[in-house]
Amino acid sequence: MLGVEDLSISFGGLTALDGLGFRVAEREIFALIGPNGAGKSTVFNVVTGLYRPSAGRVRFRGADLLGLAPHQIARRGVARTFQNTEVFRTLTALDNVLIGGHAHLRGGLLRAALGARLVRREEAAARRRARALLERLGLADVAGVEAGGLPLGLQKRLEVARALAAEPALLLLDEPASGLNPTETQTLMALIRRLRDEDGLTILVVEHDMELVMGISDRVAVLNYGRKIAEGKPGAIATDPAVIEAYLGSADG
Amino acid sequence: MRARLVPFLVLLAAFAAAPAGAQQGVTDAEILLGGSNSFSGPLAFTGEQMTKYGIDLYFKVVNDGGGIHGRRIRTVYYDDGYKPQEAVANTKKLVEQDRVFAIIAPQGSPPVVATLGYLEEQKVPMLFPYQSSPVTRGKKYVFQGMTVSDRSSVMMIDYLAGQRKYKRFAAIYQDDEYGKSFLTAFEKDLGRHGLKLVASESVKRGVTDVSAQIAKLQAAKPDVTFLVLVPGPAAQALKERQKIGWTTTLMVSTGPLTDERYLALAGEAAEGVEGLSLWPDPLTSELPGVKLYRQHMQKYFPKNEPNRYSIAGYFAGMLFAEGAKRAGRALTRDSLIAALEGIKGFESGILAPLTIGPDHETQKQGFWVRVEKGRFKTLTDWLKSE
Amino acid sequence: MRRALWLAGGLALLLWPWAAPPYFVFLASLIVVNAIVAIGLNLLSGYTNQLSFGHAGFLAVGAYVAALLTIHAPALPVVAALLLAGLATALVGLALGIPCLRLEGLYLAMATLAFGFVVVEAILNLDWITRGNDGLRVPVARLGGLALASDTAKYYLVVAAGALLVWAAANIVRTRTGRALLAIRESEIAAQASGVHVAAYKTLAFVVSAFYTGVAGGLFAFIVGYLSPDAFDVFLSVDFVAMIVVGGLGSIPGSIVGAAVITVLYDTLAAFQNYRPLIFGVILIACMLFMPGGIASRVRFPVLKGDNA
Repeated sequence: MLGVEDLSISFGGLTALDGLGFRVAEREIFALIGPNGAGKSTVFNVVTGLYRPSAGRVRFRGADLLGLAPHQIARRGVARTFQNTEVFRTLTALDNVLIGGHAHLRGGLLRAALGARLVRREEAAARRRARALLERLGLADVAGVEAGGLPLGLQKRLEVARALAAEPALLLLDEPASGLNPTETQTLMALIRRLRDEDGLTILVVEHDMELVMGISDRVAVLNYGRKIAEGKPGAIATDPAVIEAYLGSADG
Repeated sequence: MRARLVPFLVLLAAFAAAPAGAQQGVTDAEILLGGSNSFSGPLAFTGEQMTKYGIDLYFKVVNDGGGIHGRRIRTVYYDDGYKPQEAVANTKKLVEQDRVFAIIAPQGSPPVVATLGYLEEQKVPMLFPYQSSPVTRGKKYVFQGMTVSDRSSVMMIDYLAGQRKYKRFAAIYQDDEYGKSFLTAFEKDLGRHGLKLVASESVKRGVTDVSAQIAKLQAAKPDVTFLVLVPGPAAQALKERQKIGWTTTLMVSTGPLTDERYLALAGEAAEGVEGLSLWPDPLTSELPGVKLYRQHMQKYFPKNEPNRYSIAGYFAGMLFAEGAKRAGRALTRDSLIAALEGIKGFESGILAPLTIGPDHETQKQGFWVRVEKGRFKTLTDWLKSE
Repeated sequence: MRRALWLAGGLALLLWPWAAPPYFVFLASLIVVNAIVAIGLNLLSGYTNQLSFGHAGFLAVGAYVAALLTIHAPALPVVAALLLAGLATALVGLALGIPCLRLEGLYLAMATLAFGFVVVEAILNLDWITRGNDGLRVPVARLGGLALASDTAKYYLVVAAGALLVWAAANIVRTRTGRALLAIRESEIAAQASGVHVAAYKTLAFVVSAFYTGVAGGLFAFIVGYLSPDAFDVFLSVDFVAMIVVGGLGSIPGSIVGAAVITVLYDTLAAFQNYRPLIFGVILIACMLFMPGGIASRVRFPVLKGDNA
């Protein structure tokens, strides 16, 4: 479904990604792990069109994503969350989710301005869908609360709700468990599994929390200094000497 | 919100139903005049001097002397910053809220033109607007305050072509109503002498580089070059002329330009420039009215230096007082208009004896000056414009 | 309750010319015109976070287009003149909005400021049609056989246009387009990731903002009756910014209240003559210090439900 080939990018002489490649299959939960600065978030930013790589290809459902603007990539079914949450802070949780569904509404400026029936109808439907999503993620009680005022855990869940409102095929989760307590992490893991099993989503996750990675991933790729040093089932990765070396090395430094 | 709105509306309705009958703005004890003027923006200095240190200066003198037929004169001014929309708002407010008797000395063409139609419609006198274009002509309730451009032209051309026998005339003028109204008048008056302009160059307002225009004018070899500009570009033109060493032409400034500001800007490049002056020198003139003006300024505003804007306002105040005096105790707008129209040979001691008449113009004469050592030196007595 | 409030408000607006002294009818028209500009500016600055110090320029474009149309095509009904003024200004907004996509913050403020100067310069240079500094007398607006000459007639025209534009703005901000604009203000990358075409919506904000201000410009021309470039200086642009800052960024009712407060304040302070700019400035600074979210942050407006801020 998602194929990343030979990706290279550098920032001011520092190589962030160096010939990286991996493939994620339909309905797979695929984790990217690695020490800080290994280039994990950079992969997300390349896939979602924020960064333009110096070499390589990103294919999604057979089409090339490189060269597309971020909003075009989003409209093709790629949704994401952010490492340091990017909720729309002064808007309510409900509005945040409504914006997630932006691409699925047709009402343009003129029809909206004139209060056209089509717009009123589709707005009402969008609000129903958004409320259902909030409900599903346990956010129904805070629908009317400003997103910036929510605790971090709820903001993270809100980002997932917003991403789901876009009805994506591929969901990119950037450190979804950071800042969560163990109970919250358990809930999150259950949710991610359900998204795959019930909603048929393909999920690419970047995460430091090994419990989550080992608990839900079908496959794991390990990055270090922008290169892939290992890839495989979670069990095999945990015992890979190169991986242990990378993590110990980073722990030293 | 609604509960508060009701008494507010009642209050407003009460205002609207103010007692009718007597002349608006005139009570037993007081005459109320109003003006929208520049207290901010490009003409703020002029506006402040004309009103507070000019008109009000004269009214202080009148009020301290017992007023006019027992009535004191009070003024209220609003700032329009030279913007027409503000002038419209202020003028409506003066007429409809403050209920003034008349509008006095608004300044600048845009604010004046914007309010002209409204005042004429409401039959409220607009007294002595400070602007020189002829747009105010033929209005029953308007009395022009500044010399209109075509009168200045008659005085200038008759003096230069008639008495001084110059033959070749050229002009550098601002490309707007002010400049163009002078240009048209020059052509007409030169025609009476069998002459015409040998060259004319326009300058857009706000432009300061006039070197190209000066070079073209020099090539036409005029004896006289009129400066129909505002102080900034006029000073620039004089400096440019000095720079290229063009000495064979007499530079002449028009009435509205002949004031101390461009001398200050042009410095020594202004030496020898001649021009039509509409006001006697407020600092040095020995005319009795000007001496009195200086005494009054010294008495009421000792820190404010006499200048030609405050003397213009002082004169406007004097004219109003004269009209109101002649109109008598039963002062109405129409009796004021009639009284002003009837002014004949009025001795202000500042300008030449003034007869207003049906043309509604209050400043019809000027005299010739030459710049010597940074001041205007008087060369002639009052010149005639009719 | 909401219905009753609407009804009372509408009735008060309709009866105003019969209850208020004439000057207040004119002042109310001016407030409505300023409110339309403030709403337009708020859609750009408050909703999309693109600060503009050039709205006097848009106002001038709308005013001159409406005036020139009425002069050269006297049979044109005022509604068409206003619509065309809005559309012409919207085109100018498009032309300014596209290059401004590359700019933000201070640089955007400078570019829009420069735009304001360019418009005044253009009016001066197109003097064969605008009459430059000499100013342009605006004919009376006509609607069919009706000449809208009195302050009351103009008031009703302004209020009708204002009501329509407020309603449309309220519709825009509480649906997809309005949310997209807010999303851009809050986080451009998250907006993109949600499928919002950031560049298109930023440009759209310029276009809509210019349209509103252009229509307001046309109304301005008719109620003032005379146009000159002096009317549209940079201080007017600053006044518009003051309206939305005092009223509340990202709020439609806030825009209206801000326009009313600044217009009335400006009018009252006219009597202070040369101290006016000083007093005005002090009041503005005090507002920003003690009420940083504007009036909208202190007062709950029950009327426009669904307003997003």
